[in-house]
Amino acid sequence: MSVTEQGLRERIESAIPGVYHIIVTDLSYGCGQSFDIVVVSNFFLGKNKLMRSRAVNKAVEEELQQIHAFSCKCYTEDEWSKIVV
Amino acid sequence: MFLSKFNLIRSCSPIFRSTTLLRHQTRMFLSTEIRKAIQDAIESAPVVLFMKGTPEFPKCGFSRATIGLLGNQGVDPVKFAAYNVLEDPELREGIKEFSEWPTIPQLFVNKEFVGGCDVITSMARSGELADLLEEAHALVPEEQEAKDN
Repeated sequence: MSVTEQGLRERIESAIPGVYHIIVTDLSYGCGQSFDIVVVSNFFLGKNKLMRSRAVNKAVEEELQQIHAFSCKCYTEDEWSKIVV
Repeated sequence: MFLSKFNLIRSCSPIFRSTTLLRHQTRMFLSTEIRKAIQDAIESAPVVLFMKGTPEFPKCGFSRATIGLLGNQGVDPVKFAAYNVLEDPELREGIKEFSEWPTIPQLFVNKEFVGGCDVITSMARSGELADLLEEAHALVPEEQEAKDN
């Protein structure tokens, strides 16, 4: 079964506490090979970029085996509010 | 030498040290031999990148972007080593398990895992990458840079 935006979103929502916002974009035109993900949660407060990415990687561990390209950006609510005005 | 197990590519002078590899088909766990070879590779230079393709010819957009970032920061080629995971399936799978990181490229500075393309991109933007490389004395010395220009 190929990986879907919805599937990834659900995985992340159930693994990362206090998710404020998730953007999952399938860049592979539906073949499930390339995804761009943005996760916003205060769970990332006090965690460096490596720790943040590791938490998301862990959540989508199974799906990652099937994906060729995967990009993930993690922000706290405060950091996100400065990006999106 | 276990190091010769993986082809090392220096960005200035390519050194290809190919050896016949034992191909273990099992991917259940990382063998001591592969773990040692990866550790040696990580220790082979202050800045080590595991990538797809070579610095001159990256074979993946993320590897290309990462090489570009390191170049922009002014990483000294003498202090940099790149390993092409596409040349070695054991390295390609082994490095993911070693650093518990699912994707390539992977950057190591002073034997410490730094991250993949997203982490490095964001660190480059915030200035953290410059600080890290500076602290590791991995940048081209300023005098020399002036002379080169």
